[in-house]
Order: sequence, then C-alpha cells, then structure tokens
Amino acid sequence: MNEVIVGIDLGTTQSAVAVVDSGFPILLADEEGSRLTPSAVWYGEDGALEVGRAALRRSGVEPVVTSVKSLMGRRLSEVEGRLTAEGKIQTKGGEVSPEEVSAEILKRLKVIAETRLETPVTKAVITVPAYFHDGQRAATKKAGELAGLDVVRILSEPTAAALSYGLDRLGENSRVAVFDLGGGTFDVSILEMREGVFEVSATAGDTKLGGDDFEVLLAKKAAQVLSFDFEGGDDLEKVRWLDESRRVKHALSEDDRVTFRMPFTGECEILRLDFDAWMGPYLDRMESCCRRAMLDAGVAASDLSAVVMVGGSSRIPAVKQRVASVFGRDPDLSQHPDEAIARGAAIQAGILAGTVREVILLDVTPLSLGIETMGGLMNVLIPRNTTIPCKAGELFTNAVDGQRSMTVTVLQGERELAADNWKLGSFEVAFEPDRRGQARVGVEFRIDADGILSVLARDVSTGRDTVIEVGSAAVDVHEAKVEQMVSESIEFAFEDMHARVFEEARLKAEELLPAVEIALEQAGEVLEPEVLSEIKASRDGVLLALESKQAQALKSAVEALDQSTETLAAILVERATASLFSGS
Amino acid sequence: MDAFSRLGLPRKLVIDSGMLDQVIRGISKVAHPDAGGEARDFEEVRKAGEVLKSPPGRLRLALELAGGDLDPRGSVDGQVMDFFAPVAGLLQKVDGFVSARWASRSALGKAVLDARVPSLKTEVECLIGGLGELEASLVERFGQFDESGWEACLSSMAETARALAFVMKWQAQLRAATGKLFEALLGG
Repeated sequence: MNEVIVGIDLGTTQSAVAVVDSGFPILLADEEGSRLTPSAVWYGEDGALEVGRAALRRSGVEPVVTSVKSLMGRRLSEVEGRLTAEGKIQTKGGEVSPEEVSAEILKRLKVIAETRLETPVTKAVITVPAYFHDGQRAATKKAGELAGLDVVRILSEPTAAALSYGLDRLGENSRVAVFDLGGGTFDVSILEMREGVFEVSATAGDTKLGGDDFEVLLAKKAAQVLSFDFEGGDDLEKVRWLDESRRVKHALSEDDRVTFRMPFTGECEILRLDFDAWMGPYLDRMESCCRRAMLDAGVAASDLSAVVMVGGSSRIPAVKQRVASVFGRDPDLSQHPDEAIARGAAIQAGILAGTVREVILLDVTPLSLGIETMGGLMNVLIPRNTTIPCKAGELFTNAVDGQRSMTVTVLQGERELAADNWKLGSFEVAFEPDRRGQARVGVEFRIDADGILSVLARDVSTGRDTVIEVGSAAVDVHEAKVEQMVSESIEFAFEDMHARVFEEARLKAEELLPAVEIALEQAGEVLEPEVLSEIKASRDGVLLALESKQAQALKSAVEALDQSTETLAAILVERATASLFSGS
Repeated sequence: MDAFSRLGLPRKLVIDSGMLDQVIRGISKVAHPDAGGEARDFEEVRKAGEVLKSPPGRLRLALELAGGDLDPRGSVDGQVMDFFAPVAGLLQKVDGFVSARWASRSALGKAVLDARVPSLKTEVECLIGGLGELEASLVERFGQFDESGWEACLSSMAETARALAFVMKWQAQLRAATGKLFEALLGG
C-alpha cells in the first residue's frame, strides 16, 4: 500500500505535520524551513486570509483568531462570550465557525506536506487531547473534512507521545506515564508497552487547563501592579498584554526575574518565586489528575519506569518540579515538547498505512458513557478507561400501553446527576404499539477507535436494525433558549430585586459563618494578629447586616468576610493537600 | 461465550495474571482492526479478557460451564455480611460530603470541607484493604475447585461466587468514592 497518510498535531498554540519515512517519523517544514505552524488565522475583508506566522504578525493590531482549539465542540454556555449566539466567531471577513478556522490551519499543513512530499495528500491522522469528549472529537474530524482530508483516525495526544517515546524502545517492556501540558489542555495517561503493543491503562485530564491560563494569570497580576484595568480593556489591548505575558512566561523558564513591559503604561518586575506560587492551584489540579490516573490504572508511582513530559508548557520549571515530586523521579525529557506528538501521529498513520508493522495501539475512552434515567441520574453503560473500540447494549421497553417512542439522552462524564455531565445528545427510540413492558428495542452503543460514539437500534420483535442519529445540534439550539427561559423565570420568581440579592447573600453568609468558626479553631493560631482581627470584624459586620435586612449591605459584608478569610482558606487547603498526597 | 476456549486457555480457575495478560496482548495484536482484524473478533477478545481477568467473572463462567447455578438468593458467608453496614455507612458519608462540597459557595466553606478529605480517604482505604484480604481468602478456594473438579463443588463455587460478587461490588463502589472525593476537590 503506497498511499501516504500524514500525522497532524493540531495544537492550541502550534501545529505540525509529520510522516514516517523509511521507518523514521519526521516533521515536514514549510517554505521558511519551520516545522511548527502557529495555530493562528487572520481574516481580512473580501476573503483575504493568512495562517500561521503571517497571521501572528498582525496580532495586537488587528483581530487574529488564536487558540481556536478551546472552542471546538463546545456548547455556548461553556465559552463565555467568545462565540455569537449561533456559535460563530466574529471576524473582519464575516462569521466563521471554530471548525472552519481549524480547517484553514489544516489546509496549510496539507499544503506543506504536499510540497515536501511532492504528492497529493488526502488522508491524515489528527491528534486531540485524550480528555476530549465526543463533541470535541467530532468537531475535529469535521474540520479535517472541511480541509479536504479523510481523517482516518483521531488519536489521543499522550498516546501519540508514548508512540514517539516507545518506538526506539520496542525491545523493552515498560509502564510509563505521559504528562502532556499544552497551551490549552492537560492530559496524563498511564501506558504499558510490551512486545510492540501500546496499551493505555488509564487517562485523566482537564480540557480547560494550559499555558493560556498561566498567561492570563500573569497579565492580571502585572495589570494589578501597574493599576491597569485588564478586564475592562478592549480586545486588542488584552491581546497586547497577553503577548507580553507570554514573552515573560517563557523568559521565566530561564531567568528568575523578568521585567514585564507595556508601552505607555509602565513596567514591573516579575519574580519566578512569585510565579511559582501563583501556579500553585493549577499544579494541585494537575497532581490530582495524576493521582486519579494512577488510581484507575491500579499502579503506584514506583511501578512506572518513566514519566515522559511533552507539551510546550512542560518547560516551566515549577511544573517539572511538581511532576518529579508526584512521581518520585526526574521526568524524562527525551521527547521534543513541541514535536513528539506530531511524530506519534505519523507513527499511527504509518500503522494504518501498513508501513509500520511492529506496533499496535490499544487506546481507551476517557469518560464514562451512559444514559439519563427517569430520576435524573446517569446510568453508566461503558465505564471510562475501557479499551476501544468497544460496545455495550441496553434494552428499552414501553412504560405505558401503546407508547410510540421514548427519548434517550446520552451523557459523558463521571458525575452522579445527569445534569452535571456533558450531554452528547438525544435520540428517539420507536416502539411498535403494544401493551406496556412488551415492546423491546435493543440499543447498541459503540465507541469506535476514534473515541466517537455511534448508536444502533434493533427492534427485538422485528429484528430490524436502524442507525440512530444522535442529535446534538437540536440540543444546542434549544440550550440558548432554555437558558434564557430559566433566567427569566428566576427574575419573575423574585419580583423584588432586593429580595433576590438578600437571599443569595444570606445563603452565602449561612455557609461562611460556621465555616469561619471551624477554620479559626483549626488554624486561627497561625494567623497574624491584624488578619485575625480583620476576620472577626468582618464576621461581626455580617451578623449586623443580617439583622438590618439591607440587601446591598449584607452583600458587601459577606464579600468582605470572603476576602478577609482568603489566607485562612489557603492554609487549610495546603494542610489538607499536604496530608492527602503524602505517602501514597 | 466460552472465554477460556476463545483465548485458547485450559479450563482452570487458577490463572497466572501475567500469563493471561500476555495471551490477551498476543491475540489483540492480530485481532485489532488496525492490524486487519475484524471489529467483532476484537470485541469478543476484549470481552473474554474482561471475564477471565476478574475472579468472580471467571468463577461464574466456570459454574455455568459445569452446569451449576449461581442462585443469587442463596446464603452468603457471615464474614462478608460483616462488611455490609460499614461499607454502606461510609459510602453515604462520602456522598454527603461530596454534595456539600459541590454546593459550597465560598472559598472558606470549601476549605473547611477539604480539611476533612484526608481522614475520609484513609477510612475508604482501610475498608478497601479489608475487602482485599477477604477477596484473597475467597480466591484461594479456586485451587481446591480445580483439584476436585468443578462438577463436584458446584454449591461451594456458587456460594463463593455470591460472596465475591458482593466484595467486588463494594470495592468498586469504594474506589468510585475515592474518585468522587478527587472530583469534588478538582471541581474548584
């Protein structure tokens, strides 16, 4: 089989295309010799378009679409104002969908590949974060199709990195962890590599955690020092601050103090020590994911032979230190943080093209798949970390005589309540009219090797199979309307605006007051006297405001108490985290 | 499906897990769709592997193959029933904690709850440990069943299968409880 299949890393910040040549995966360079293409697209009027570095050159002066990966497959409610009501991005050249923007990046990569390989390229393996749900994977596949590519596999990024790491070590049998921290997403996977079989045991992650968040954090801190209203700035201003923030973030990996400079506003020094402290909560979340993955895989850190770090943000010293302490060993930095995933994608492409024979990949689905029950709970049909492709069946019957159909809602996630999980979509199960409990329809849920769901219904009595369309577009369109309805009904339920504000503040006060007592008992003695008296004063302020029944006064008093107890809260969390993560 | 024959293994309850992994890996390598295998074959291998890797799954299959009946309403060892109340109680405690944590609205409220996590986690681990010991003692009976021949031990196998079913279910629920604790912490 001579058909070439390329491997593509479609990253939040940078993208790359690679192919296996004579057994070696290599990244393909553009006309300037660069193997990495920034994931940025500029739209001008009249169809003008630029992708990559050319687009970035306009950043801060004109709107450029960046980090579009964080918008792929997301519902409106998840992306706070970055999308229009129809789910599009506003540009000078009109409205575009996230898939269309990603398609422009993919088209560029396609051209780079075709130029280097001197042959048309129509098939590709594209990587996604392991923790991407069904909607995000489907959107990525769609972007590929829009770019004129047949996406033969959607591959998880940490798995791709493991392929890159393991290809040179096929003779060894080992168990490794892959820690992948990119621009917008974080994944950790535990894999076993034996006799050419790469098997994922477990995976965990956060699709809303990455380098971009650290940049926003840095920008906000600098803005605070320089008395600039970052939140209130216009879009282009924010981009300029974030660009400087990125420069400082990168520089802090080399130096322990860097000057943050904004023309016409001022400059301030950022110490690595402080940056590391600000990173604390993010590092804790990553640590929790690592522990969760090891728990699911049934392994301890000592069972692993290496922890491989990839992703641009894995260069941050504070991140490397935390990884070393969680896994009890120095991380393996042998893989190029920006290139390993594209290499891995190329290897999988080679497996599918038949040019790489010694390797087989067994990946897993990262999120539990289930359906919503009558009581609003989630009933798991396929648990997370099940090897894919896989399937599970469920039998549905009519609840009342003559029932024609029932709606089944499909969910992904680990929460107990259906509403707290990600809604994949719903479909109708049609029944032959019958007495209740007599109609039987078997539904088969299949997760394919891309981690994408398809549903098949079989009517047990007629033996007929129907492929079911799981409608998610319908869910999305209604969601905006539903949100509007819900917020309107809350408005009307509280005719008096003051009553609503007071009620919200009162509920928060009811939680805070006893918490303050407990917290002071547990950690009061380590507080500075001024902090302690501030807490007591603001607590008394809340008690007074509760008596007064004044909505605004209570709200301010509660906010003051919230702020004054920040340090106290941090001490408790640090103690809990330290004792939780020690010795396991 | 006879998982033993599907994976080419003899009908023995005592299986070396390393060897089982190796067998599954070897067949998966050929049966995976990427290697040119049929999706249906891969699914069968995956399912067969799941059944044989789990001690109660293996035992239930053996019972079925030997013509026995699980009789789910049958009696269960007192040792097992002793775990019933502690497990239920702890699961409820964790659920209560998790709901309170998700409903929490202030940094301090969350912090005060988070302070309870280490001791909750220890309680869960303790119980999981106890169940692990019980599981080990139940699985030890497998050698006897193989030696005497399955047909001769049907009722003992059924009783052990029932006991293991409870033990595994509780272990899974407790492991899920640890996961829920992490989720609640991560939820922010």
